[in-house]
Amino acid sequence: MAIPSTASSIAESVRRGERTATEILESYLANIERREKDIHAFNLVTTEQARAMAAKVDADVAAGRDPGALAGVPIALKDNMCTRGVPTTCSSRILEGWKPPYDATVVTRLAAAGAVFVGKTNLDEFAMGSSTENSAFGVTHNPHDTSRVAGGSSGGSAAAVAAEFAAASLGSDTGGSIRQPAALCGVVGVKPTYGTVSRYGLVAFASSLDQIGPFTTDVRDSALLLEVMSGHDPLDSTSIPQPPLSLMSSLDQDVKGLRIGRITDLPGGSDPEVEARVAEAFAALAAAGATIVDVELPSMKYGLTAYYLIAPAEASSNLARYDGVRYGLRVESSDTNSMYGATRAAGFGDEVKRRIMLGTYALSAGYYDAYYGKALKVRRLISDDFARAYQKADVIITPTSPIVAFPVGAKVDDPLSMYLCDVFTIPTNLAGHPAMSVPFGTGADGLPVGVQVLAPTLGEAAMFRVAAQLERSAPGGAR
Amino acid sequence: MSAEKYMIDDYELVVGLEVHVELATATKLFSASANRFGDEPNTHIDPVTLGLPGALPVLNRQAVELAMRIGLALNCTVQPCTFHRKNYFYPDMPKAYQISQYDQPLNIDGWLELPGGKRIGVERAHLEEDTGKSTHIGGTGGRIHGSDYSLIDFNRAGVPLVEIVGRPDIASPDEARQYVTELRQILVAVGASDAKMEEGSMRCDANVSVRKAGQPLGTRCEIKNVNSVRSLGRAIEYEARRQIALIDSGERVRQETRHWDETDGRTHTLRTKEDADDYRYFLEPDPAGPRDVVDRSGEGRLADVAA
Amino acid sequence: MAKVARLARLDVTPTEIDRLTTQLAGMLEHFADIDALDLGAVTPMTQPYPLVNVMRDDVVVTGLDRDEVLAAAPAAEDGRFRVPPIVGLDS
Repeated sequence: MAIPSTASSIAESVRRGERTATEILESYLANIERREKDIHAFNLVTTEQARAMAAKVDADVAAGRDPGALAGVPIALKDNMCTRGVPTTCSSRILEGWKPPYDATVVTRLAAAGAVFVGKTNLDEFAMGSSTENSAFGVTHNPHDTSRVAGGSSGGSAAAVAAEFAAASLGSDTGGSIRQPAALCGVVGVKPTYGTVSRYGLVAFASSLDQIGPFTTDVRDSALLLEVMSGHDPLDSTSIPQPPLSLMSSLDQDVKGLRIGRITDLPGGSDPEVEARVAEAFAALAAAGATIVDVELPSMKYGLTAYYLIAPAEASSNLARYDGVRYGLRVESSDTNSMYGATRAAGFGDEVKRRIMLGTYALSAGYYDAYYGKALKVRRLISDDFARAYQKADVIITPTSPIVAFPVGAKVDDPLSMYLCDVFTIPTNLAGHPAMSVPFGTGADGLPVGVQVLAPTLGEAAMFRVAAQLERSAPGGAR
Repeated sequence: MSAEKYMIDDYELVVGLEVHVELATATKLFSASANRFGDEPNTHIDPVTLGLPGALPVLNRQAVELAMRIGLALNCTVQPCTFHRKNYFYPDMPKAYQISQYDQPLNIDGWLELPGGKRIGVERAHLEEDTGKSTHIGGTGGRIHGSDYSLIDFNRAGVPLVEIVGRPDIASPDEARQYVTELRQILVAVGASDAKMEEGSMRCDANVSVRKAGQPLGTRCEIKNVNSVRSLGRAIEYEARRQIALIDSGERVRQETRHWDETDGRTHTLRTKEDADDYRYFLEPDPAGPRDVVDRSGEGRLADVAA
Repeated sequence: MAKVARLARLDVTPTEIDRLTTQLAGMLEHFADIDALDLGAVTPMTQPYPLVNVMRDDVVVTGLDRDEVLAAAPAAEDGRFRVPPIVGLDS
């Protein structure tokens, strides 16, 4: 019997005693051993901790205790989620080697469900970027073509699942940082409704936009992970006071009668192959009984601007705490004020500095109304546009990324061009809605293409229903 | 009631007091570490108190309750409110921003009545978090100036404060003393704080300016480091005379923050207003401010509104 | 730009200031697209999922271990965090 390769099948097999968590872990560790040097998905592989966690799961099974819904599932965690006693660096020199004294809530919940953590994955520094090239610890390469990027900012987590270093991984999404790398790496990536998954222990980038979500090889696994991770957390004031999401029943429902929105004024400029795959996705859903409806989002094209004013503004405040006083890097100086300037100059990379400067400027006296204040109003317009669209449609479909994976180094000198990678994903974060990327065929050079399914607030059921159908209809056969 | 206006030479005093009060809650404003004075340093700390990466604030219900009691006792309008971030760098500020209230504070437009019947206006009384405490090693008298290094204790960081901003209706050192004494009695009576200036659970800053009768307001200076009611009176008197002497000799008063030195009985320049940081206030995206309806006919219970 | 860098406590060289100024100017020019919108009647949106009155009970919960925390500090002495002299800062 082959080693089960999805989170759901692994958990089932371990719970039934057919496989041990230890043997499953060893097969993934062997994959890492073989290919990690070409991919660099991890900042740290936590071999010993993983073996200890697997051993505990096996002991639970042997003793007849419930090992949890994710028993024995090897999971990788983006290195911006606090793991007690294990370095959490956000791929930044300013936190190099820093060991948090506490665990993020999602880490606690996954561990309680029997997950086995294989390591901390690489990201764009402080989650700022779309290619993982902004990491202080090296770029992550795309497993489908290692001359290309894995996307970002959760590039390491996406690549880890695509390369079978883990059965699932966690990322964070502020403007597309789960969905875009999922599309580029050919895996499933979900950003749930803002407030459904606790942010306690997620190193904050932009507080009103960040959400944690899963990367998996199939839609079912993402539903499983979200069921385990989601639900109210009293430690997070922005956590919606609701029980965990219930998604499994959506996966086997058909899409008959669902209304699928197609945005008529979608910004153009995507790869022709990407647009072709999306058109096929619409056709597949129509063939499966759904109705395609036209919707308009006239404010969508202002999303990039609103985002690149709001996110850096919040980030400039969230990153002010990295000052060399209580943890992390300190550049010794003759006085505290100098220490701040020297530490932050040495500890932060270019993209982070750029965004801190932009955010500080947007909030500063005399400029608040012109920039940050206006951006908050544009955010309202986008949210209102979506509300109108969702009166006519149950979900909306777009490309996830306008392009397939690009070569390493191709966009580093042009920040604006990099920002355009997120044009289809950003509006979702501004509105706080859920969205997910489902692999759907390939584009130029055989590289993966992702189709994005968007849904209204707490519309995960419809979103997963459509995603499951897309997976069944995907070119090249469903898993 | 005395109709005599307090004067020094031909000058009137215009004084506004800002009082910070530590609330008598069991835990801090945004985290569940103990709110206790006098324990071993850094024994009441948690990820939120230390501003660790990934920490998130959660508002203390009792702090809001006590802050509302203060507002009602000072005849304020208690209103739905929000929290803002006040961004600046200082080693005892763990997040490099303070969560405070800006344009929608909890309590506004009240007053406090002095024993003689005069009402001193209270512009606002809002909630904010306290900072940690720094100890300066190596300088003279524990001051920053000339120190070799400093040590920070975060036990106090995050303790709930209410900042009570009085209108500049106070006209003499005596009135200032009465205001603070009266305020302290109110705070203790409603159970909001033990308000001990010696322990720092009540801190008072004075804004002082002078003018001749009928003239527009003079330039004001802020006086910090007043540690007792008696010092408050002395400091105001000293500062008023200092300003009068400047004006009389043809110089102008510079707008600045000054430090009261109890031992030499004088105020000294701390910093000028031109050095002031731009605080870049913006709405706190993490905790949601209390927007409930306060029942003013009763004692001001927190009535939860369904989210 | 130099003033913004000071507010953000980022030491930047003159070359970096020039580069950042150019890059940010370019971005702000791109962002000027929102100036075309009529935003007068629009209320700002700060919370994606509007929650009110999120509060907790006033009950002490055990915090962090001081030794574990200070072990991760750049400098510590006497149970406290140690920093160089605090000059030139507002308090």
